[in-house]
Amino acid sequence: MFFIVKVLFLLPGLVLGLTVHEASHALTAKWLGDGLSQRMGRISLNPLRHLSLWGTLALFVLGFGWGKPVPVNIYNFKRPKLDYLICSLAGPVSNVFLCVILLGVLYLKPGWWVEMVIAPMFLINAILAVVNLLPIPPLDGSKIWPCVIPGMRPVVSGKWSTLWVVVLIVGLYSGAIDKVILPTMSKMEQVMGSALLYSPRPKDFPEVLKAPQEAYDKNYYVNPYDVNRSNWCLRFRTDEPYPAHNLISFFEKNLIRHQFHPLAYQLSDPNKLADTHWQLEDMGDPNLGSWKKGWINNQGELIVVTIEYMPAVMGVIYIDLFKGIPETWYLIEYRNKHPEEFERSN
Amino acid sequence: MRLVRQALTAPVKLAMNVCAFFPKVDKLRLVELIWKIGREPEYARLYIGLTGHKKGIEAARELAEEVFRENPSDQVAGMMGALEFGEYNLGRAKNWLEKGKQCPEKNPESLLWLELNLADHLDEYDEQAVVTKILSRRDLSMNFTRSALAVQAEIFLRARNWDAADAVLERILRVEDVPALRWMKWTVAKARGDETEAQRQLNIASTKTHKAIPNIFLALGWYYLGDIENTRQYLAKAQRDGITKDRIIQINRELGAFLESDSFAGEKGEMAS
Repeated sequence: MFFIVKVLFLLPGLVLGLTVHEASHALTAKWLGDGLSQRMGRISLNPLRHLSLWGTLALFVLGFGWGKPVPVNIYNFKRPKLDYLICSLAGPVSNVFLCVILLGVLYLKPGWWVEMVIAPMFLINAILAVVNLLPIPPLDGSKIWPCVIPGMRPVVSGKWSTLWVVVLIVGLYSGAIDKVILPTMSKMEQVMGSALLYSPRPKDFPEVLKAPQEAYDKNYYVNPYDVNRSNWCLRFRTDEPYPAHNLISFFEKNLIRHQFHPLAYQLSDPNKLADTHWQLEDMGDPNLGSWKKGWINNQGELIVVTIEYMPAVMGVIYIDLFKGIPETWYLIEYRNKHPEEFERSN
Repeated sequence: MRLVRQALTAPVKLAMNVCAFFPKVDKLRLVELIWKIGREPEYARLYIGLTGHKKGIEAARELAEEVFRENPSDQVAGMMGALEFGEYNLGRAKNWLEKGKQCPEKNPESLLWLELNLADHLDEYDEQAVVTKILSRRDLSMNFTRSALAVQAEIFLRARNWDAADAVLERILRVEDVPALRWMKWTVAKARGDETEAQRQLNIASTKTHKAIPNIFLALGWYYLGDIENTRQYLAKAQRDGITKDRIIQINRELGAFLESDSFAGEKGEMAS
């Protein structure tokens, strides 16, 4: 389920990225004098012209995909090596260009749900740009590097291309390619974060809510939009479910150690409902969707941690600090009312 | 209706794509099914090609006639013509080329290959005109341009225009290494008296091609250089390495004609004695 949701979130970015990538190769080839791609109908923003059957299926099975390569006749170029280099670079450059546009949209602060769509598109396009520069056929890097290295011809023997596909898959799954991709992605996320997500931690924020070192190591960011709503919030990547678990566990232990007690809460008047209908402290599954938990201390300080995220994309941990209980909230010190259930649930 | 038919072929096409990973699986049945449901000329072409490969030229002929009668397509004509050319049935290949030219819908690539090959063997086609036609097109795949350039280089060699031939060869070799063209570079180097370069080209050709291939092409090179004695010697060597007379004729008709000439037969007789 998690995997399917992840793929569905990646799909729009991948379709957009691959379509623009391949159409850019085709258009550049045409500009440089080769009309083959135009005759094959590849100067088009119709994704169906660019998506390959196996590349799309691979997205669902392997978690990554590819498009139909644009056929190019290098003999039609006036300066074969230089023009083929330009044509091969056009794909990754178009993805970088898309990244810039998407980043611009993020700067316009379009709101959380638009961000949820745009942010993965930005990351996918960054991945497409970087991965395609690897010198492994059929990726663009295998065409770019021979054009750059003196003495090499732009076209190298294609008989090993199947073997190279295997090398690519092994490289992806063994983590070898991750060594190139992850640092780049980390930088990309920082770029995105600097546009979107950074704001200073409020000065009077209790020390107890200091994020764990892991949050900094893994590039969690503070979200400026939610400062009004929450005192502080952290963003995190949701490639894997475990960061949420770890953070929840960290907050829980830290808060209990500082004499905060777990709470049950709900947004409607509990007096109108039977006790059995009250929400317990866990709401939802931290791996899928949203989750909330509340704690209160003897000074009446209330802390509510909310986790909302889209699997495989990005999540937010909102940490709300209230001095006293908000009027719209009906908070019950759960432990006092239901000591047995509290013991069981902990 | 056409779209519905093509949509119905999608699962079979998917199955054929899967079969591409298993070379031993017979794809003929699948292609036949795709053609019968979808009636796409591209698959008729493939169906005829696979039939020729699996069941022989007679079966392919029968099928091509039947398919062409119902759905005249230059793709069908181009494929059947190529199969006939492969068997060196020049007359039949020419008939398919002419039939293909009469078809209303034209696939730009389907007949050019056949025309280029036939022009090399039949006087009634102007080889230079076909080459020019291909090279003037900016929307053909690399195979066509490469082949047309190779034929252009050979036309220049035949005319002893070494510099022009060299320029065309360089245009190809700057883009990709085609070992089969090294013999032409060798010929140009020999014509210019550059032994070192000739040897270098020969070494490259020898390491990257079957051992018999350099001999047949060296024979051709010597032939264009006008050295009959060496032409004879290398032709004889090529034949000893297993290149048949028919194959030599197919590679180059002038060399084939030389092979059948009295001078070569006389030399062979001398060599045998």
